[in-house]
Amino acid sequence: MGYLNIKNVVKSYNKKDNIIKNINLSVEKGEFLVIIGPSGCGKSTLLRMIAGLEDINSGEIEIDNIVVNHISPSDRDIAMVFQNYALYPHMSVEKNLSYGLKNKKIKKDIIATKVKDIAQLLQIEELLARKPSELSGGQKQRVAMGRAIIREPKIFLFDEPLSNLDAKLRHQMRLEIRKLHDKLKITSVYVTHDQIEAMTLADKIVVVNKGKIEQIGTPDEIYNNPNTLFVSKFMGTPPMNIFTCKVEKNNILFFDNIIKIDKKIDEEEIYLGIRAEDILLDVNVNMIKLSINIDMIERLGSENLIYTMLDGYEFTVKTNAHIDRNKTSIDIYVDISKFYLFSKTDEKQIKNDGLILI
Amino acid sequence: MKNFSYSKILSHTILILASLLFLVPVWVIFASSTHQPETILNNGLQFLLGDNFIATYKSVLFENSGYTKNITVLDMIGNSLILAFGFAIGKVVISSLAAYAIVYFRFRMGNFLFWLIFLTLLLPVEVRIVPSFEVLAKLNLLNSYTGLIVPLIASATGTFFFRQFYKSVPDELLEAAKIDGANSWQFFIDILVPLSKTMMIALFIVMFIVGWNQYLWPIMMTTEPEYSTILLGIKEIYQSNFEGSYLPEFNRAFAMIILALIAPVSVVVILQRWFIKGLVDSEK
Repeated sequence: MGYLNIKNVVKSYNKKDNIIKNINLSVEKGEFLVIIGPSGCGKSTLLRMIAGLEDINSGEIEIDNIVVNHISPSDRDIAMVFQNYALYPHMSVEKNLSYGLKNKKIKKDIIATKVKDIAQLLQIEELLARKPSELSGGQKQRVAMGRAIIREPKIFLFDEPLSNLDAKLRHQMRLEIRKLHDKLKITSVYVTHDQIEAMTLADKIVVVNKGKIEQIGTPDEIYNNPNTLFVSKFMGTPPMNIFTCKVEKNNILFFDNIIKIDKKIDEEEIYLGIRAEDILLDVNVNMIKLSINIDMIERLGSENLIYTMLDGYEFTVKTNAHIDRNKTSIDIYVDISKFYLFSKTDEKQIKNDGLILI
Repeated sequence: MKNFSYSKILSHTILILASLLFLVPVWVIFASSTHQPETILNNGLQFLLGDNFIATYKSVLFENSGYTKNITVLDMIGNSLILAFGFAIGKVVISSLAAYAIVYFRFRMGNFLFWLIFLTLLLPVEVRIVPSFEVLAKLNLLNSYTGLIVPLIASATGTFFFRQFYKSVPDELLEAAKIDGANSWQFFIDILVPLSKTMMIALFIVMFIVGWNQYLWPIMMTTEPEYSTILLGIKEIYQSNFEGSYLPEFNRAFAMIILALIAPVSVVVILQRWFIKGLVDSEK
């Protein structure tokens, strides 16, 4: 039992399709949980249900052992940072920070000290008199976080808080959020569709797809051991290369190579995945050589992404090797120990103790 | 000249002509009001100031006038101010609250009710004047400020404007306020009202002038002269000018017109600064 428990929670807007389908989740005290999924998967709805901004059709949400289904947002002891910050535009930064405390009828001098402390913590002291319209994106973000922190909530909710910032600022704020969490140790639930944010911020990641949880795990587990085809494709840029391969007994046919698996597979075809970065441009044992045409190269500086079509499948190679501009084809090597296998029927990973190239 | 340009001259010419178009009649009325009634009657409207300014205005402001001679023009202006302020403030308050209810409380048939309110645009005071009069007569509200103001303050236009504005306020603000522990009333007072200040002032300006210019309803409602507004007073003095057997007092009538202008003009001049300021630093 965790600090925040979500039990069998179901949500539907029209009584027919459930946007959240029976979700079970628990978060430990002080943990930083990231909910990630494609847009429209229900991750924001889930967060808003924790906040109390959306009703729950069935199931229970428990915060610190209290069922909060029918407790109003302000009494749940949560604070939320919104995607567009939702600062009160007509109030100064100071008033924005203190509004929640004022509504709680806390004494003015206590509010003043708290505002001062928070401003110091977030380095926004010199902005206190300004209106939100006079702030930059990053500053607004800080004020929004300040407004949340000042309430000393049991749970901190973030709804894609960095998606309105430019890339550089996003990177900086990401680090700051993590640092802040390490300092304050407030249990946090963070919704995002950005996997870099998920990987860097989270103690625990929940991958959600179509209102269902695909996998819960540490960033490492999610990346290196994806439970489902969806997780494998969703986590990692570029997405994992996926092939459909024929199977005979425990032999997998990958192009002209036969790979032996230590368990029997009942399906005729399975999905085989390999990450773009696990593809090498030189030989090793247990490797399969392939020749690919270079359709397009994305040169990112530290690495290059080669895009091509391989036997009708989209195929991406990530390498830090230098590739000549006028090269049109290239030999690559795939390490079969980096293969992921997924069932074609339920799309679950087929775990195995190693594949052997025959 | 450095900034010389034809378009500048052209635009200024147009502006000056337009201002003259509006200002000259006002000036003529003001100038004429400072003359003896005989001068106006004999020589027509005057373009230059006369020597009767203080005498005319003093008598108009402080001497009783009207058929029954028991109300001064100052009282009439007072009545008009009460009507116009009550009318404008009432409209702003009622329509912002109505729009708040329609937008933020999802009650059953809310939309239907809104369109019902909107449909009343097709029913101006003139259409419902007999039933309204009947209702107020039965409530014993004839000849009272309440009767003068309340039946007029429901505003479909105002409700519509506020509704559109509230709809454009991001939902997250409401949610943030909810999390910050604001109840519905606090959200309205602390967040929505300050945000819609500009709109409220704009609506107030327009409605103040509409209220000041109310004629039909006050003339129906007020049979007692002490409730008559400045507009009724002007109407009355003209009527007596033409019907009466004594010398038409055009100077007094003109003076009343000038006095009737002061309140709406000051409201526009004072509030438009706030209004423009609100427009400039308004943000959502």
